[in-house]
Amino acid sequence: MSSATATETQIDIQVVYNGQPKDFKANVHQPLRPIFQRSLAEFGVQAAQPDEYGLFLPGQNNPLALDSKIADLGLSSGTVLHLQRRVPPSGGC
Amino acid sequence: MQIEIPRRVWIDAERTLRECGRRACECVLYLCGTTDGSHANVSAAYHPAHTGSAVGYEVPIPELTKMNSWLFERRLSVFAQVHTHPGSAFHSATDDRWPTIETVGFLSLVVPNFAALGLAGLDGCYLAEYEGCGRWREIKREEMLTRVRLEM
Repeated sequence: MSSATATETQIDIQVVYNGQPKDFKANVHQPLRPIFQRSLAEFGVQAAQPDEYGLFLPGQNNPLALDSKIADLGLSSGTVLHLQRRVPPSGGC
Repeated sequence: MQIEIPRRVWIDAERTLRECGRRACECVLYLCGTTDGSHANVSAAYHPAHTGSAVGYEVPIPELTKMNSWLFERRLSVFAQVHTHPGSAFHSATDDRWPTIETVGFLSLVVPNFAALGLAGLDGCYLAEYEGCGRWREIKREEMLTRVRLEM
């Protein structure tokens, strides 16, 4: 594999949770789900239901498909994603 | 973690909880700021647009998205959620299940009587700390007053 191909295969994605960013290396030929799972772990999110979270492009209200390949999602190096609930926060008495 | 809330912030939060809820609906807001790991310095009370009724609230995803962008732009984090109850303060099953943040140490403050009594002294309030995997721990009043410090 040439270095040029390697450069194109590996990209940098920044994931933001609760206002704070972390950087991740991603293989564009892999699904997004491993980045999601690493994000949960590295931000220390201990959710009752992890599947109620998702990765969102900034300003977007629908989560990205975690089982889609990163290349197919059109994500490039420098992309910022927000880790947040996809099920609304709520409370009550 | 101990959170320090400047007077201007908790006065503003108290007014928001009262005016939004109008003694008829639950209201929620988020205490945001920066931390050194053991202390959080709250600099703002973020009040998202939300639905509210006499028995509950919900923050729509677009509002959550908006808040997360707001936080990131300012490098602020949410340390506690604050919401009102119509009567006594406690942590309901819904409060346990759908907080906005699920990292260990996140705080949830419940304010009784639609915040009619305000926040000063945290009278009648209930504080819970997230322990992970959907579990919460009640923080008794003595500890609550050391964990949530309101500037007088």
